[in-house]
Amino acid sequence: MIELGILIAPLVALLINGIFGRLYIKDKAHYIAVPAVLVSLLISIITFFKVMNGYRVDAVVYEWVLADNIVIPFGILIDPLTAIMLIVVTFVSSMVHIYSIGYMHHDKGYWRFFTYLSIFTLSMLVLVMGNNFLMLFVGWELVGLSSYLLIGFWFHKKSAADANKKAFVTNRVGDFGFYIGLLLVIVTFKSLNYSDAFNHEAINAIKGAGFNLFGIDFSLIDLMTFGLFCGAIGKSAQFPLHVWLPDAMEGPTPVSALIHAATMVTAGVYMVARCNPLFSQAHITSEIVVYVGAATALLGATIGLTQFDFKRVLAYSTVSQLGYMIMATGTGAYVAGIFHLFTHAFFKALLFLCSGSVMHAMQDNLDIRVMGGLIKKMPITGYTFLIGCIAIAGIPPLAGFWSKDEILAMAFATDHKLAWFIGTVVAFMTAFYMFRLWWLVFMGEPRDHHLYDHAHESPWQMTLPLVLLAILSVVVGMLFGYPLEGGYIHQFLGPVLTPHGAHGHEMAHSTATLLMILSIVVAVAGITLSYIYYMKSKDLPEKTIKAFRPIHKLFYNKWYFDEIYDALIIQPCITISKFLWKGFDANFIDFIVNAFGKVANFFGSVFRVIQSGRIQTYIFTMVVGVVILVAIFYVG
Amino acid sequence: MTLQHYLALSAIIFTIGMTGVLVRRNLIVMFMSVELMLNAVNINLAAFSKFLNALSGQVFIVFIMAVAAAEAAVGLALIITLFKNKPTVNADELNTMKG
Repeated sequence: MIELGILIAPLVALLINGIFGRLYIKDKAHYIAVPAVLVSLLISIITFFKVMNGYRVDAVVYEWVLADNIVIPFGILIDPLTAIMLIVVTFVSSMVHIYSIGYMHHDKGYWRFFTYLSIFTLSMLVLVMGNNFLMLFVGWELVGLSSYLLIGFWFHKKSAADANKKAFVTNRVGDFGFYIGLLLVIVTFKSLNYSDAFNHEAINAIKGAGFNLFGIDFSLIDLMTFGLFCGAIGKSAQFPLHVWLPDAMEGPTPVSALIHAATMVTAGVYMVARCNPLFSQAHITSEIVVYVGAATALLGATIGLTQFDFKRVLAYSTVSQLGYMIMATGTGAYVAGIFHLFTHAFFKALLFLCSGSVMHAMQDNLDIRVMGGLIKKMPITGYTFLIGCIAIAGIPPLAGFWSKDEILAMAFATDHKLAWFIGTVVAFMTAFYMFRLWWLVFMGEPRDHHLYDHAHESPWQMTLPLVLLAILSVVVGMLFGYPLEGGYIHQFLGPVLTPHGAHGHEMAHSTATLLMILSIVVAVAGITLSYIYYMKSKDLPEKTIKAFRPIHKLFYNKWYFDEIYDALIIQPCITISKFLWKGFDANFIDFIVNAFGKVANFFGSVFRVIQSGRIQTYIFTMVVGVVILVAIFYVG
Repeated sequence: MTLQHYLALSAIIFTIGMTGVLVRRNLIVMFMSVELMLNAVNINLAAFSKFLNALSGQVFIVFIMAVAAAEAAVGLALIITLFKNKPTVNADELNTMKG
C-alpha cells in the first residue's frame, strides 16, 4: 500500500531529526524534514487523482487492540473526504516547511522546530487517514500535543508558556466530552470502526433508543453526537471554548498558519463531517451545532473588527471562519463545510504567512498602527496578501466566494434564517476588517519611518510559498465550486458526505441568484466602507468609537470572555485549591501524619531505657528469655 | 560411662561458657566462651549419636565446626576493626548503641 508512505515519510524525518538533531544536524534539519513532507505531498496528490477515478481503500495494517470481542485495528481509510484532507494537510505543511527555512533561519531551536513540524504532520495525517474512532482519537490528542509544543516553542517567554497551557487545558474540557462520545459509540456499536458505526442499519436500530435523565428524555444518538461535538468545540475553537486560539498566536508564525489556521483547528469540522451518518440523525445536536457555529462566527468577527495586533485580527478571523464551517455541517451541508475548510486552508495559510513576512520586515512588531505603505517595500508579500483578502472577503471568482456562498445558501434553504442572517452580517464584517488590515499595513503613508526604512522583502524561501498559495487561493474555488451548488466538489464528496435518507434542499433558481448577488454586494460594501474609513476620512474610526463607546469596549475586550472565565472558573479554582492546601492539607492531612510520628515517638521514649548499650545485659535478657520459652514449652 | 556422664559434662561446659559470656568484659574472652558453648553442644550431639546409633548427630557436629570456624573468622575480623576505631576490647565501653 503506497498510501502508508504518506505516514512513514514524516515519521522517518521525525525520528532522524529527533534523535540526531541536537548534536549533529542542527541547522541542516530542513534537508531531512522538507523532502519527507514533499514525499507525503507527492503520494497524496497521486492518491487524490486515483480517488477521483473511484479508488478506495479500507484496509487493516495490523490488529492493534484485541479485547474480548472488540477488535480495533490500525487501519487506513482512503475515500474522497480523506483525499481532500490529505491534500490540504500535506500541501499547507509543505509550504510551511519551505517558508520556515527562511523564517526560522537564525533560531537556536531550528532542528527542534522541524522535528515538531514533523510530529504535527504525522499526527494530523493519522487523524485523517484512520479507519476507526480510536485512530481519530489518537491523532486528535497528538495534534493537541504538537500544538502545545509549538505554541510554547519559545518557552522562555512567559506569555508563550501561559498560552500553551491555556490551549492544552481548554482542549481538555472539550476532549472530555469527546471521550464520553467515543465511549457511547463503543458501547452502542460494540466496535470503533467507521464501517460498523456508520452502517445505516445499525443506526436505524438505535434510533428509538434513549434514556431518561433528570426527567428529560435524551435520545442516545443525540447524546453521542453531542459528546463528539464537544471535542470539536474545543479543537476547532468554537464558542464557548474559543479563548485559546487567539493566545496560540504566541507560537512562531508558520505554526499559526499551519496548525492554528489551516489544519489542526479544522479537525473538528472534519470529525463532524466524517460522522455525518450519526449527526444527520441527531436533530437536537444539529441545531446546537448550527447556532454554536453562528455564534462563533459573529463573536470572532466582532472582535476582529477592533484589534490592532496583526496576527490577532487573523486569529479572530480564523475563529469566525471556523464558525462558518461548523454552522454548515450543522445545517447538513457537509460538502459546503468541507469545501470551505479546503479553500480557507489556502487563503488563511497565505494570510498568516504574509503576516510573518511583515513581522520579519518590521522587526517582530505586530501593531498595525505603526505600519503603512509597505507595498512599496515588499510587493510580493503585499500583492499576495491582497489576493488572500479578496479571497476571504468573498469576491468572485476567488476561492472564498464559492464556499462561503454555498454555506449561506444552505443555511437559507434549510430554514435556518437566523444563522443565514448572522452569516451575512459576518461576511460584511470579514470584508471590512480584512481590508482594514490591507489599507493600514500596505497602503497609505508609512507611520513609523524608522521601521519603514529598515523594511525589506523576505527571501525566496518565504515568498515562494506565498506565491503558490496565492495561485491556489485564486483557482481552487472555481475549479471545484463552479457552478454554485453543483460544482465538481459535490460530485467528488457527495458519495461520502450525503447521509442515508437525506433529502435535497432545492431552491428556486431565482432565490439562489439573489442570495449570490446579495453576498457579493455585502462583500463589496464591506471593502468600500473600510476604504472610506481608513483611506478617505481618517477621523471616522475615532468618531465611530466615540459614538459607540460601550459596544466598542465590549468588542475590543473580546466580550470579556477571559475576565468572565477568570471570575467564574479560575478564581474559584484557586480559592478552593488554596483552602485545600492551607486549610485541609496543612491542618488535617499533616495532623494525621504528625500524630503517627508522635505516637511512635512516645513508645520510643518508653522503650529506650531497655536499650542500655551493654552487651551483657542483652545476652542476659536473651538467656532469661530462652529459659522462659523452654519452661513454657516444657510445661505446656 | 553412660549417656548421663556425657550429658553432665556437656551441661557443665555449657554453663561455664554461658557464665563466661555473661560476666567477662573482654570481647576476646567472651568470644572464647561462645566457642566453649558450641563445643558443649557438640559433645551432646556425639553422645546422642552413639546412644541412638544414628550418624546424623555426627554429621551435625561437622556442620557446627564449619560454622564455628566461619564465625571465628568473621568475629575476630569484627573485633580487630572495632579495636582500630576505638582502642578497647572492653564490652562495657562499647555502648554507643545506647538508646
